[in-house]
Amino acid sequence: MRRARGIWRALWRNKVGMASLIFLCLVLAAGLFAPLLSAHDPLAVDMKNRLGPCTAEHLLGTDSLGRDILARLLYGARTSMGLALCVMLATVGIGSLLGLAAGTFRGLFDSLVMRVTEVLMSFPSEVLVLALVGMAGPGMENAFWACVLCRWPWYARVARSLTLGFRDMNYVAYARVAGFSRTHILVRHILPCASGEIAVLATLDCASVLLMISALSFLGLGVQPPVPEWGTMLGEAREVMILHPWQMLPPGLAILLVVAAFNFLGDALRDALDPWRTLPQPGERP
Amino acid sequence: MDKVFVSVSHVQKRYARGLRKKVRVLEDVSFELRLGCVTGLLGASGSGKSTLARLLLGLEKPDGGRILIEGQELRAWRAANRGGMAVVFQDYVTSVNPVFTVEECVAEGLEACGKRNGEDSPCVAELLARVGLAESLADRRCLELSGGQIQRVCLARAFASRPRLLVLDEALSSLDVSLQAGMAELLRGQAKDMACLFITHDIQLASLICERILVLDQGKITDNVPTEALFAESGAHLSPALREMLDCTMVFCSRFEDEGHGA
Repeated sequence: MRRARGIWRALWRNKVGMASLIFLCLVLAAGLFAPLLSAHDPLAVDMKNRLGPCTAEHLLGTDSLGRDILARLLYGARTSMGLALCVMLATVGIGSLLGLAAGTFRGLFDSLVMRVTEVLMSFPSEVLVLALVGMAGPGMENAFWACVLCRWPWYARVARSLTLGFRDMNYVAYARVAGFSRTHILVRHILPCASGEIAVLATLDCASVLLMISALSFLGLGVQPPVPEWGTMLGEAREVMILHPWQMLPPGLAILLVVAAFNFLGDALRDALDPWRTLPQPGERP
Repeated sequence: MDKVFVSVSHVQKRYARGLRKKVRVLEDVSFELRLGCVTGLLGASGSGKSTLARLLLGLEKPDGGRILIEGQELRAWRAANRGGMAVVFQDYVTSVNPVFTVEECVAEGLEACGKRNGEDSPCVAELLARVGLAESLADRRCLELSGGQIQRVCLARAFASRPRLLVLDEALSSLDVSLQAGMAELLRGQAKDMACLFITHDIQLASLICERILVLDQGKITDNVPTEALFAESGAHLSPALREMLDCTMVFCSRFEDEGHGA
């Protein structure tokens, strides 16, 4: 409890980080409550009103099939952010679990996991994702699994090296001497210290996963039309880019702002979660 | 009282340096620890004291020889007696989990012997009071305290599980002299049913606390004598390393007495 309060206070002090957190929460809420915020159906085609300008009815205009861009942007937040967060959850879960276990139990299991990560990390991950999705066929599910498969090795390696670093700490030595089991030490001592660093990495990585999913959708390999997704929208806008370049703006800006916000939040979290840096600042203690 | 509790026989330890070369840290070390007896381990820096401590705690395996506790292999004994061993290290900064409060830290010692809610177990406040820390510190984060306070938190944690083997690796080195004396008294009070290895390079502190003195010099035990032997008239039976330590201490003491503080 005390620790949670300290982290919150450190995060509160960082204005940019706080603004990013609020912005991301707003985007998520906008995605969740999209039906309340927009009266338009994001899939309703209106060929009479193609590429329409910004009006009171269509705040951001309409796209090449006459669909309301604002509605598509809001529903797209669901797909883009939701998919990115799911990928991160699965990646962090699988990666750090395997990494922590490898660092704790060492031996054959450790070598096995590390060799697999080395194989996966020896390919550029963007190329590997493209190859996997290309082989499995385009689609949301395949894009999800391809992203997870290509990213977990990073988390496994970070979690393992953190575990090895904490193993040499004297408090872990005390716990071993006192006869606590390795699982107990992992849960009590190593996980709370390692989770901060992993959370920071995951937040920063959210941005690149979002970019990766948008890029896949832009190329037609990820989320399939007509489902609204920012990358798909960007791809559709590209077809009319010469005559109507502003069509690129709404999805492009949405991706830019969310990616930037994730990066700022990651930096702020790194400062806030550092166990050695969350000590109360001078003058703060009542 | 006089039974052999820990027996260390012909223990060797080498560390690899480079591919082929190995550095011998301990060569053929043998000694015994008895219950109810505080044994001091003296030695210069780099003589292998801390390595010996890590071997005795089962944190590392010896390259040769064996360590038996009550006739059992060390790791088997440790697994069968949870909380039966405790340690306080010299480096206090990494001795406490940075996310723990003082209370959580000391409670870990209680938990080690499964006495979290037991009736006869002392509570955290009592353990803190024993090492001279105020109860109001209990919900502070360990790292907010000073070095001497953290070291005493570690001592409280070590005493909490009522260990039968306690290893203090320079554990009093960051305390001031009066606190050192207080902790020495506490240690002697607690020592009745445990074997304690007190590692230090301070011969005066060792002679205050310990009943036996071991001297480790370049990986070998050169002396294994009762403390009284240090003050015997002729030092002929003592090793050169120990005699040098004593001589240096004498210089301090004689200066102290010359200034008119002597009895």
